[in-house]
Amino acid sequence: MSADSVAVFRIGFGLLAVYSSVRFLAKGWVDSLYLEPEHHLTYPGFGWVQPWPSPWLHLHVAVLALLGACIALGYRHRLAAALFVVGFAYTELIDAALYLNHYWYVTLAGLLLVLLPVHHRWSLDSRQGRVMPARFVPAGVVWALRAQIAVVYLFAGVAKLNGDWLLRAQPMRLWLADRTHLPIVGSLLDEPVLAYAASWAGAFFDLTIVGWLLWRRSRPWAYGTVVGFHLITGVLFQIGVFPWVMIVGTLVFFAPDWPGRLWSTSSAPTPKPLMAKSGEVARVAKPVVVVLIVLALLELALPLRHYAYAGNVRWTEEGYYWSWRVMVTEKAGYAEYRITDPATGHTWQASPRLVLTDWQAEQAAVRPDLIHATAHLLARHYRDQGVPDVEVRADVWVSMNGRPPHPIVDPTVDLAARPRTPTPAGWILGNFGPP
Amino acid sequence: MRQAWALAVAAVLMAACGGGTPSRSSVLGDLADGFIVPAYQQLQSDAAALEESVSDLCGALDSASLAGARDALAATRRSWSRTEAVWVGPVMDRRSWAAVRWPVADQEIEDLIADTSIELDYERLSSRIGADQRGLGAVEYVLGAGDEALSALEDPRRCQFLTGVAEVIANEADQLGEDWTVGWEEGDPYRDQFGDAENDGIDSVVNDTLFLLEAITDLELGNALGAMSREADPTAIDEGPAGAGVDDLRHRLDGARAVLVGAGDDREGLSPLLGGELTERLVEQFNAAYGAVDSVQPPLRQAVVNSPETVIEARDAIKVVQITVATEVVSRLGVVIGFSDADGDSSG
Repeated sequence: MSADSVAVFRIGFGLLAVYSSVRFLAKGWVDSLYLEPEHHLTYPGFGWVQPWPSPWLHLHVAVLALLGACIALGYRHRLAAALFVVGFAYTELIDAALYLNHYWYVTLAGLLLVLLPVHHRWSLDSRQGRVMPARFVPAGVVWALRAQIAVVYLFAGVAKLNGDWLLRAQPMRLWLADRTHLPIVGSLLDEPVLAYAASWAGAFFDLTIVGWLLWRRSRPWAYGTVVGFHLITGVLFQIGVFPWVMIVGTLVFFAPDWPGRLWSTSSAPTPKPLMAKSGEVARVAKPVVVVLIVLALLELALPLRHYAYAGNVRWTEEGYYWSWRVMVTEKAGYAEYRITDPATGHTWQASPRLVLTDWQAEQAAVRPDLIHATAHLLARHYRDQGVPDVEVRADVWVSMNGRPPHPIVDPTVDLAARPRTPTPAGWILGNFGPP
Repeated sequence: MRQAWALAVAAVLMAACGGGTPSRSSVLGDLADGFIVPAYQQLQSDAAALEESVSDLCGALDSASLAGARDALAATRRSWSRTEAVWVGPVMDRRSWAAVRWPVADQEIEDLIADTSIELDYERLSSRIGADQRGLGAVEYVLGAGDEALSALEDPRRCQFLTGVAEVIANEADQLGEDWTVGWEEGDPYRDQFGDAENDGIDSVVNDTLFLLEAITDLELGNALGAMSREADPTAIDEGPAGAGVDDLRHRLDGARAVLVGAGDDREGLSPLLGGELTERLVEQFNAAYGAVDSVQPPLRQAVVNSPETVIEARDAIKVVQITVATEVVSRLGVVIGFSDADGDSSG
């Protein structure tokens, strides 16, 4: 297949990496999200990942922008992409309260850019002789990138097949009612019928868009829908660069030679269809194929792992990370912790804000794994204050998708004594239907 | 087919032109007109009456004038308490609490009055002394609880201090009233800016109500009862010699209730955006909280020590309201707690 579209994918990815990193710096998020919190809500097993001190973390993000530029230019691409993936994953691992599905997509797509020969076309590497220029790539390269996007949409669509989304139009009703101030359409947004229509349309879009993009006859319309859908969600919801990531990424569903044909229609007569000759096809090494297969299996397993846990994953969030449950739940919570000094038997209440910032506390009030992490941070806080081995219990009420608040954590369990592992927690209360 | 399209277009136009939930801007405007502006105007009027009554007291040191001044003080304190749920805009910008009410340091006040080298004029009292030497707490300290205040006020510097502090309070309240109704920061009255703020207006008022409820349950009652630390600390309640802590609770709850579901039975405040079921549940929760607060025997600091179970019951009842606001109200209104502007694509 023509290497044109994967080259465009690489260039688009690199430019978005530059934009995203610069935006992160410009908004001051390096300080507010990484450096200002005294503690971070780490992932189990990744407590050792801590932010560099200032100004090194600023430099780190600036280097990510630089690496994005290298990826776009195809300059020492593999090294740049590998460093980008490691550097980006590092920033994502610092605080689990910052988890975003689209950051996970960026990590995986970046990994594919490391593994796949996407830098043999329209790159400085090929121009300067570091890699063989190639106008073609094996079809598997294009399909691997398409599959990566398909995984996002399909699992996001499957996640919407639940009673709240389809039968109660929640959380869409809550979200749209919150946007009635928007001009022209604002007055319509609190109409229940619109919330139902948007919910069903959203599920239909996610579940079928890959098929429409693959079918040549529907592809232009499908891509127009992709652009429209993501632009609308970008206006309605604060989801950062995600719409642009998908708008750029889905271009890979067009015929692989579309960039060349687009270029030629605007500047030169249409060339004859190209045929790959020996030496013009960038190769994929066999070990890379094995890694890709393992990665594919992992990507299928991760979103399904919640079946290994009891309860509704949208409530318990066990198996929630890396499963493409994009914008399917609205939760608001209130958490307070009871500290018991076993030496004296005295119990007192502690606010999570003793150890967390506001934005961390907001996330830690609705996500059981973060509630657990907060309990451990509180235990450490009191240990540092000379009160060792305190017991930490949590009273946490959560409202999910507009329901009345419900306790989410067994208030009798000493969370500080429970190790943080991926095994079923056993202390999460309540359930709201099947996953 | 053509008829079906016509019906669909008509339905959309009807939906667009009215019906359904009122707009956030109109709800905020109604909240401002129905509660916030009248609350600040009440404060304005009560603070002016306080200034006048202490002036009268210093002109005629007798029991009737002293009682009048104390009544005016209680009224101003009540109206200030009612505004606490709507500390948004001017009051935050001006840091009005530093002029109107802040926990006072009695000895600092005595030292200030005793130091004759210091002129107790308006300029000094409004901007060159600590917040713990002025405000309603300072007036209350000087007016005391018994008749001995009359003899103490025979010291002209004491009266000068009292009238000066009352003037600072009145001017601050006056400024707040004007900010809301006449103009703010050389622009439109804050009432209009608040109404136009849409989601920011909702965020600010819900966050402030939540902060107020948290201050009551955790910072004050929680600390006083020893629920928040290893030792009970009744001084966490800023009550004053008159022991008005329970009265304060009631009026602060009045403010929170007015914001969320309206002050009376008309279901005003933010209730048009909350929906009937949640509104009625909040009303019930507020009624339970009022009932529990009414069961506390004033003064509050003593109740914490002598009958802590009544204070615990009041705290628990207020906490029920707090939890509903922190979860359902926040969720229903899409409120951002703490104003984080980070992206999010996972869950609420």
